[in-house]
Amino acid sequence: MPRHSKHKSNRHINTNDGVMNDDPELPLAKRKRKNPNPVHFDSSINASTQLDMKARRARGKRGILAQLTEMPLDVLFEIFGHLNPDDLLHLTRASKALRYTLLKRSSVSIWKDARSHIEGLPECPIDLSEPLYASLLFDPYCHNCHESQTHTIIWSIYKRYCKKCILSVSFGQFEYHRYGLKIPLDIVPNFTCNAPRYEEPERYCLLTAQRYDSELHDLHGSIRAEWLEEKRAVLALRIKFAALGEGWAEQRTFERSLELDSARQRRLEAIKMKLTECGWAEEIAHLERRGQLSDHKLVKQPKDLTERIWNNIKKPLIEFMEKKKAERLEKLREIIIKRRGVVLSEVIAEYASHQQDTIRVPGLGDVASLEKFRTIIESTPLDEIVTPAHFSAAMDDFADFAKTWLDEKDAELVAMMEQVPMIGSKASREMLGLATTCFQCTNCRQVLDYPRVLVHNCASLPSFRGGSGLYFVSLDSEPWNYRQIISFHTAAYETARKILTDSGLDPDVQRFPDARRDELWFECFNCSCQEVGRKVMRWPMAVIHGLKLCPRLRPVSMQLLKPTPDEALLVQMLESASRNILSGHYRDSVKYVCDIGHGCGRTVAYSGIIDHVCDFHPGKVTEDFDESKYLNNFDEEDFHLHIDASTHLYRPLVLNLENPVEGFQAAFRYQCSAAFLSAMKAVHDAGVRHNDVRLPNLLLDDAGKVAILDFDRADLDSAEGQRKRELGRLADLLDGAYIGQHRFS
Amino acid sequence: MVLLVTSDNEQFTTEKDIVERSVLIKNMLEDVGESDQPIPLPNVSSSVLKKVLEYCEHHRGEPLPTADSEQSQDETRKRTTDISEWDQKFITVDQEMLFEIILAANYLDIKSLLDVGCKTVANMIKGKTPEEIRKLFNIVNDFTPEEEAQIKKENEWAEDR
Repeated sequence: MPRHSKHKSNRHINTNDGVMNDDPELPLAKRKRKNPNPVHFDSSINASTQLDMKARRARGKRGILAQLTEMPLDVLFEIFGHLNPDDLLHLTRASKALRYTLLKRSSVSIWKDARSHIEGLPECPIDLSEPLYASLLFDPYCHNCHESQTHTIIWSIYKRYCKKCILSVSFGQFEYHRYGLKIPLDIVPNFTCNAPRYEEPERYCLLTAQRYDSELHDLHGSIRAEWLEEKRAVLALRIKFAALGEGWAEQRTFERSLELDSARQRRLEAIKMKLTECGWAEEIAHLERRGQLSDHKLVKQPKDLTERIWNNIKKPLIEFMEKKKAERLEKLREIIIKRRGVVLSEVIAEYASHQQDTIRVPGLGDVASLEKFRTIIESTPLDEIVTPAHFSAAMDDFADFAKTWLDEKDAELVAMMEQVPMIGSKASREMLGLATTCFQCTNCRQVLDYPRVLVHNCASLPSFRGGSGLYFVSLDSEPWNYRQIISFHTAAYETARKILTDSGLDPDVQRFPDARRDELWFECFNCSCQEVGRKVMRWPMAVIHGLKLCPRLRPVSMQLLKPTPDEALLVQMLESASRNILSGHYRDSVKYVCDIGHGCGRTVAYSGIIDHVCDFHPGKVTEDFDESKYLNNFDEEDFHLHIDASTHLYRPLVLNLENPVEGFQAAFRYQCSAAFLSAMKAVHDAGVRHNDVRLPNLLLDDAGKVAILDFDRADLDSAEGQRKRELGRLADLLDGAYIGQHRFS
Repeated sequence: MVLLVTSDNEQFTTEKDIVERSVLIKNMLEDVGESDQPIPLPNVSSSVLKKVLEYCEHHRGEPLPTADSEQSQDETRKRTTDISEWDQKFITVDQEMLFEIILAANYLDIKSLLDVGCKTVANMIKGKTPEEIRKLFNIVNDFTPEEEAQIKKENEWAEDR
């Protein structure tokens, strides 16, 4: 079949390829006919001469369809009867003779026939001729500037306008006076268009309005009324026609989109078939799951696939498939490596559960970087499932490896200390456990003590931004301090030394206090004052507080608290009260340190506790392991509150010793919050809103009996939502949200 | 047996039921009755008649369109420009022959053949730009460039311009 696209087909017709018959003699025959009449190319000869020449041509010599017009008229009409209106329009522009034949009024039946081929088209309006109607329907150019590619038909005025012209040939209601019009707007054809935001989308036809305006100018009295009536009738017809036309256009657009969709689908299927023939069946299935093939720009075209097109797009498509396959295999490999890493970490956890010192067992990244483990993970065929048994041989001398590893890492840390001028050659492995030895993570800025620094999360977390290598990224774990993010914290070392010296302790022998057992408390003199009270805190917190949290810009002034027995009791009670609030209401914001296996040392959020136990301490997860029960009871046994963790809350466990009553009350109120809330609920259920929820209005006796006071602001006509909000406020108050803000910060 | 004589004086002998697809010849035979007289076809050349008879022979025995079916056939013809496979192969000839066949079919009054011919020409025209139509049918462009720009905007009846 002849090709339809304009710019390409010219070329083909020149080579006589697109024409239906491919008789090699035909071009010769054509040329023979062309030559005797070269004058036809001379456009200076007027039309009548040309017609004369045509008439003089002998009937007997008629031949090819060049003499379309010499056909008997009935045969010609028979041919035209099969055409569509757009083809007729094209014929009227092919030659003068054709134009003359088709644009005679007597040819109206041809146009009607042609129009009848188009389904659902509204009847031609009486004030529009058939060729004009055909042009409106099928000539996609703007009737004002003749810009092509104008696809919107404005049915009510029988026009097409491009986006640029549509505003200039029409006006909005509010522009009415600008043109000095005096006619009523209800006789002017109007339409809606996608105008820019600052223009009115509801437009009136300017040309018609101006013509009507000048016509109406000379009319008076009853003639004027008649004229107006007539125009209203015309407009009514136009509106009716526009509705039909828009419906047709919409349907046509819809059908066209269906057509395009099915054409795309056909092309996709054809391409899939071709690719399957080339052996890409498996890859197609993978790609189509994410629609990647059908989205490819060479595939997503509503054009049927011919051999020629296929030959053109075959190479890029195969390249695309190869690229996608490589990507997929790479991804698959990553996933498999990650899975094998999980198996290996289970093996390590199993080993660690039999060790005295869980914290000093090398992590997954360190183990997996060993040649023999790496070979198992990377070189086992991808379709083979790696089980713990695969690693059993490699695990044989694991104890030796663990020991060597620990020696190396300790040496690394000692080397970091040697870099510090104040320590220098004094640095030794024994110094690692001192209270003054603080490391920091350049990633999360945490201050880390030994040996917790060995299991710090950031130290073995690979970076996706490079520096870690694909293997470790796939494993989601890299050797400890692979990217050198752990360093010695010199400032913390100095601060710690000063605090210890000021406290009369020897910084060279004082070991890092155990957060749970050692009763070492320090008081910050910079913060303590008459109004606020005395600030006391435990060891690592004291260093951090002195380093960056203490609000006064003074030298660190902190000393060991030497409490009287009463004070010691008070500190302990305050601490436990604060702990209760933190691990109660704020437990999603604080972190815990794992104590399982003689101190596993890893920090986890509350939500990550179960995952941590399953991954690192599988021995804990027995058959009767109950997750929810465990989460309620673990505290102080397997995990302890991480008191120096970064949280968005006020710093946990900085206690106010001077004014302990509020602290106790807060803790006690928190414990009794359920009772307060149910009391307030009862008040609300009675239809009363308290309207004055403050701490002084909440009473609590020693037995834990609660009372709500001061109802002189209460009202009876509150909405339910208001009472609900009041209950929420009370809950916040009991949780310490309000006292906490100023008391502990 | 019917004897036909073409414009170039060649004689064709053919069977009655084949040649009666032509309404012209059918009427003629009915008027004249059985006779050995050759029927002269001064408007048809031998090469064209050969093609026409080939068509008639292939379609022999098929019911001729009658006056009643005219209407319904007209309807279907309007809607479809499809041509059956054999007809398509048959009509794949050079333009000159196509033109002759159409004229002969018109002259001999063979409705279905005329239809096939016209549809073929229509299919050649369909979806083409004016320039492509000119090239295809060897039509000389007798519009000046100015005229060509002008006629795009003028689509009114010639009488109304």
